[in-house]
Amino acid sequence: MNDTRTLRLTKIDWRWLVVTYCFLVLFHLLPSLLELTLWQLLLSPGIWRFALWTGGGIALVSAYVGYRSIGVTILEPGIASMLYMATLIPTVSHIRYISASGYRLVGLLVALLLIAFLVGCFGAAAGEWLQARREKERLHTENS
Amino acid sequence: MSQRTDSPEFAPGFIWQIILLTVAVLCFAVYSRSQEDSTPRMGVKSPISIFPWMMGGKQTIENGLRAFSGKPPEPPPIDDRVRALGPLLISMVLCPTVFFLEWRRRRLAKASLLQRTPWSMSTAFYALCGLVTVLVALVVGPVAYFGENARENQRHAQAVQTNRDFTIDELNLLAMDAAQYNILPRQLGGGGRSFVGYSVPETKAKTEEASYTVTEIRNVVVFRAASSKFPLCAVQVKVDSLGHMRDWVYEGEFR
Repeated sequence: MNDTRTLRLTKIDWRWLVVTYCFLVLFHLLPSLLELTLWQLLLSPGIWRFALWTGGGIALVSAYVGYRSIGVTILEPGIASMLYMATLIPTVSHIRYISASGYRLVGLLVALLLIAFLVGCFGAAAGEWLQARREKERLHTENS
Repeated sequence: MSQRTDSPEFAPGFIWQIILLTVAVLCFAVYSRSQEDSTPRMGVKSPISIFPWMMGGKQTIENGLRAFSGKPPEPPPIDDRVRALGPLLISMVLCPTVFFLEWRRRRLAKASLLQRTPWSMSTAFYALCGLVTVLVALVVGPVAYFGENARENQRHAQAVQTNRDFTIDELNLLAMDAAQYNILPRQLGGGGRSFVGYSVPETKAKTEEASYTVTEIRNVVVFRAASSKFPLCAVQVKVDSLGHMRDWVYEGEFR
């Protein structure tokens, strides 16, 4: 059982990768665009607002994907989160207002992509944990 | 190319449909961003938002700018109306309607999102409508409260500023009156190069804006104006024999 789960980790399901990316755009980017006023009201602009907003959204969506998908789906949300971050940076982030250039800017971009990947993986892992727990509870209920 | 997926997790054609929807949302995001970045008409920016009062505020500012330039206000252009009405109809009419109807249908069918039914476009649409409905419900209250609070603060600040300006105007008149008293000889009811015996004329001692008293008389006279509208606010000023006003002291919100 464990071996199968480990093997699935390295085998990427492209459908969940695409769907996770689409979910991130639909369930995070679109509501955020519509709720722009609230973000401007609650948080001052800057890298922290961007990080909090993006990190929170990625973690939640990845956790849902991890919970909902059959089998172990951890890498897919991680990669999709990285792609999503790569989409967000040129379209909606305020990264161009940050006073970094050259190597520092490249470093910042790479760091953001890595953080997105890690947050996506952690979110998905949390979802998987929840899924396993629910499954255990269900089996326990069925047996008793 | 077949759009069918052999996975039990997704309905046939779901992935292509959701990709198309995602592309549409990304186009909307890029368009929204370009609107925010484009050179604004008459210096006012307005990103696309579900909150119509942003558009209203923009229109008010534009009308103010036009009035400042001596031009009459003009009705908002059609694209602004569409941009205000479109998101409003989507987020406050379409999404809640779809969400509640689908929710009721699912309740009646004893189904829920948590059950392992394959993902279909209707499920995604239902989830999206639910998310927008919940977010709007959560956000509208605080935004309206903070907005009204800010407007109330602004109105109060403007009222204090107006009261302060009128009080200073009236103090100018009193300064002239005191200087006149100082110049006039005693035989004509003046002070004969002195402020001794000077008092604020009865007609000017209490006005709609403030109450005026003389607190000190030597070679200068000190006026104190206590606001009638804002009890903690006051202004104090010294007036010399030539009617020059100096050493202004502001108290309370007049500061």
